Amino acid sequence: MAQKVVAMILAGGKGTRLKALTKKIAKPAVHFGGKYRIIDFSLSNVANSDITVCGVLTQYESAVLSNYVGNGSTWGFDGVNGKCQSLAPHQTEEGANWYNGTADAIYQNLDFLDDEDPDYVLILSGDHIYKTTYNDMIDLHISSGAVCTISVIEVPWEEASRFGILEVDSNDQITKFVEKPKKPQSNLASMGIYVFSYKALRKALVEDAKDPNSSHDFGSNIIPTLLAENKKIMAYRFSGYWRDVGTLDSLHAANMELLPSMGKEDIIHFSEFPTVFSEDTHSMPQFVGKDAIVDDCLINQGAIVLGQAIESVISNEVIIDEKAKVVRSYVMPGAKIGKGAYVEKAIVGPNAEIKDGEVINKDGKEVVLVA
Amino acid sequence: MNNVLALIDLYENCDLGLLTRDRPLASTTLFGRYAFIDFALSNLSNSGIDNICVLAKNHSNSIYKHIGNTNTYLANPKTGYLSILINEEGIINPVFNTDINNIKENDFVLYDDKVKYVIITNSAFIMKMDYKKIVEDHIKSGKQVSLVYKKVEESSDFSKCMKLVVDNLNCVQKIYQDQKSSRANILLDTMVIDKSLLLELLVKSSQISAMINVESMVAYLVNYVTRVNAIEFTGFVRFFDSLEHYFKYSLDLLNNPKVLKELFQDPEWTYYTTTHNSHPVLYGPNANVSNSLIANGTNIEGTVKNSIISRDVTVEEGAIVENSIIFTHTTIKRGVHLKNVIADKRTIFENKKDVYGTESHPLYFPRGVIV
Repeated sequence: MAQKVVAMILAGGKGTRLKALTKKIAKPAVHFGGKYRIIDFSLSNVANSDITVCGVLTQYESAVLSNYVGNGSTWGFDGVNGKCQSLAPHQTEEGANWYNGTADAIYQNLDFLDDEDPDYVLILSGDHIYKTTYNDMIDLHISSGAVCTISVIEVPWEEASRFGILEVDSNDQITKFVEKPKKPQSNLASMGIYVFSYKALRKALVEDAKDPNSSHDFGSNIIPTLLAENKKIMAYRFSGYWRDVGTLDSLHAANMELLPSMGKEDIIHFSEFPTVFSEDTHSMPQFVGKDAIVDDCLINQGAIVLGQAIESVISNEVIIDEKAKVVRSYVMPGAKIGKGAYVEKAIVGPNAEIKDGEVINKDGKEVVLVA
Repeated sequence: MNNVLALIDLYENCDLGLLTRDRPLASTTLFGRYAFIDFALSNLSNSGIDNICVLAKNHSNSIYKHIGNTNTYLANPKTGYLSILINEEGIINPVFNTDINNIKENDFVLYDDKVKYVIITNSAFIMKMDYKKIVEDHIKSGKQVSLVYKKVEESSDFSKCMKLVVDNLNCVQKIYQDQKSSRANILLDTMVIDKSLLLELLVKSSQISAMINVESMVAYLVNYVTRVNAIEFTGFVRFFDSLEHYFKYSLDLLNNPKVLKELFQDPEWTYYTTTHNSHPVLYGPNANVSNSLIANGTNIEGTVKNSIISRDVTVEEGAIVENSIIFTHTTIKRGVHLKNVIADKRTIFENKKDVYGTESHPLYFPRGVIV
């Protein structure tokens, strides 16, 4: 009998550094790539790994996200053995609590996991952009007999102090974990993707919950504690396209990487396996007008381009009116760019309106947000 | 409106030549993303009618393939239903494969006690019809049958349609057909009939040789049975009755922003269709696109002018597509110039460099050919 894996996606983050974009919605629900939302990538990766049960842990502005996740049919979690459930903080016999840290979020949903009775639990962050399947990582976890396996990626040494850094031995067994080290001894960064053997995870979470000094975080508490107990934790080396889009700059940059001229083959082919699934809107095909100019763009259905779109990502139901020009920008669904307006190096928020003739960010040095 | 049952009658008297040789008109591609039947289904759905049956004449696989998940069209798939009805006897004996016989064979759909009125409509007329209003007008009229017509100043685009003479009490005086181009009331092959009368007619139909199909039933009703109410429809209507008209009406849409807006930009009236996992359209740095409708999943590196491009099409750098309609998964390779062409699904243009039809006689290439 196959081993059962349940995925738990941490999607409660506020994403404060995305400013007005996350004023009303959680970061994982932020739009991306013209057609997608950030969480589509993790959920699709889970679906493509043949994992059929998935919990989405929501907290900040959970309404839009829970509504979007629904019963998971967008990613195929509504099959015979499928389940996809939004897990917001809830009231229990012990009272009502917010999720205090990533580990606490899972701890508060042990009932959900107990019901599913998995052999392994895959814990992910819902706010990264990448295409993968987790099967190899899970296989490594099982064959190594570790209690936990952490997905790692090599980052440039100069940036290593921004990440949770792991030190490994010659077998890629993790020897040390340091959150944001001042003097990093390794450039292997944790991607916030963990496979746990469920029994070990359950025990660790229950113990951690009793510790009043813990901040109930996987990186700061659970992993260091397991290492201190000499438990076997493996590193799984990930290579390929992986982006954290936690700031306006990185969100803009990741969208610009989708343009055909960038040649990022391992992310741009969304519709090839591992396919990125998303809710397809009921819009007409996009319309490109008589005098329109469209160069090096990614444009979703339902958009209407009468002016110019240059090196930009344009979402559904966006209107770029006559003689308007949009350059190196990411325009989210429903935004209107008025006649003769000029927009450069901007993120234009959902349903934002740029008036006729308005000029946004003419010098185009920094990324600006119009929301 | 759970007292209404709608029948979409695909025994329609029109074909698009080679385009509908292997498929019914209902599932033929229209406007880059839709099939003809999406319009009737969406109009019904938007009118709050959730009991829908499709009377399929032949090639029903193609209908099943397109409609697939009926949830796409229904407000509530538990309380409502969308069924595809087949006349099995008619498959063995095509002479008896008529819409009347199809209804008779599947008359269980009429046993639902809630149903008092039956709409019979079709998929060949593309129009934005509010059936709720039509049913209300029918009930108000006190008549047992209502026919829906469109007043036109010039009837040459409707030469295969039945025409009505309507008196000043809104009753149908006469139903006729002629080839003249003149002011006329065009029957939109749409009617509302009290279920009780329809049941009576079905019982009688085997004895009355003049009533072999719905079209002749309508004539029989007008001429011998009862005073028939006439309801005028004033919105946009196109009747697709030939390959040439298909080509012309489709491309006309590109130059008619008013109709584009009426059909596709009404937030209260969405056209539903099957959804896909195609990525947004990729426009390369040298793409040159104007006055075109383009569906998702397409990659454009070359030139596209005055054309309608369906899903997952590739236009390579140096290729030119002009005044053409391209179906899904077609590839136009470098150096090829298409003008006035209809290319069916999965066609590849690579060897012949100049492929020109004329505006009045577009060149048609069937599914999967390599040119």
